[in-house]
Amino acid sequence: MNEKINSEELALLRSYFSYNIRTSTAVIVASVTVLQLGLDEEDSMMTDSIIEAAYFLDIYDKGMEICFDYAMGKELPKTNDEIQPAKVVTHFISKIPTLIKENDITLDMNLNEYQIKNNARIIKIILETILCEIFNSSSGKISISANENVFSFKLPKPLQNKDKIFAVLHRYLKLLKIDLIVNANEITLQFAE
Amino acid sequence: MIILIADDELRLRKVIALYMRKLGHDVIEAKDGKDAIRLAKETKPDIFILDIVMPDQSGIETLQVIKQDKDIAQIPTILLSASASETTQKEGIEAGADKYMTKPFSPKELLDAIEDMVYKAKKVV
Repeated sequence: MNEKINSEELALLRSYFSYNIRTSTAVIVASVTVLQLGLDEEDSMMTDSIIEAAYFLDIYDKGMEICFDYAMGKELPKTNDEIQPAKVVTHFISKIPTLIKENDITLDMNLNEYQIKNNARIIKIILETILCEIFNSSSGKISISANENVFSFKLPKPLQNKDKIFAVLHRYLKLLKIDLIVNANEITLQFAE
Repeated sequence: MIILIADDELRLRKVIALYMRKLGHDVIEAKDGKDAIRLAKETKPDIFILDIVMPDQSGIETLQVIKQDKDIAQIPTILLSASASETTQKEGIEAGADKYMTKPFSPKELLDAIEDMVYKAKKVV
């Protein structure tokens, strides 16, 4: 097991992913039940909600896999695949139109083409997990900006009760030479230059 | 029947509310515990549905406040949780919840429980 993670944090990871997987499953089960009653024109959000909840399930499942790999001390795979964080962000946003609409989220984005040249899959999943937290818990204006290797998410208000999970993600990202800083209502990711 | 549902998970709250409305019930939606208490005082619902994990004030803390307020203390309450932990269930029941349901659940199952509890509450009165 990773010496930097203790049993309390392992329990935290288990409960964090269990909570989110159960919540997304609940959205799917409830939406299907509503669909069984028949669909009115204004209910079209139901089908979108199912698709979005399934997308979140996929992210949380993959997030659980890599966080537990970290907790168990598994060595990082040596990969030299490439990733553009901006593309991860825009793809994520394109997959959740209903959530953005229902949460009254407005977006102000100023992204760049900064590219990371290692561990693309792990970085993508952690970034998506952070995006899930941001978009699930925010209502109002979210500003996403990139300045060279620094990505910043300015939120309408601070995320609540996320300190512990972000502390684990912070340590994991450190192994990938990425600095995750959560400061009031701003989350910053500084990638290695 | 007036059902007050408080859950910060917007998608689930909307879907459950839609289900209940399609079946002819009035649904009041609250985004957190404080909002739920304010709306309960205004609308006097027949039942509370409270999610446990909510910002600012958890469902259990909200229930504790409800039980201290004589105007709304008698309203039956169902707690919803994404945690199947026995400890959390025990805390919820000790705080005064009439029922504890673990996500995921079918809205029909929830509505059956609501109807059963509201019927019993009215019978007692």
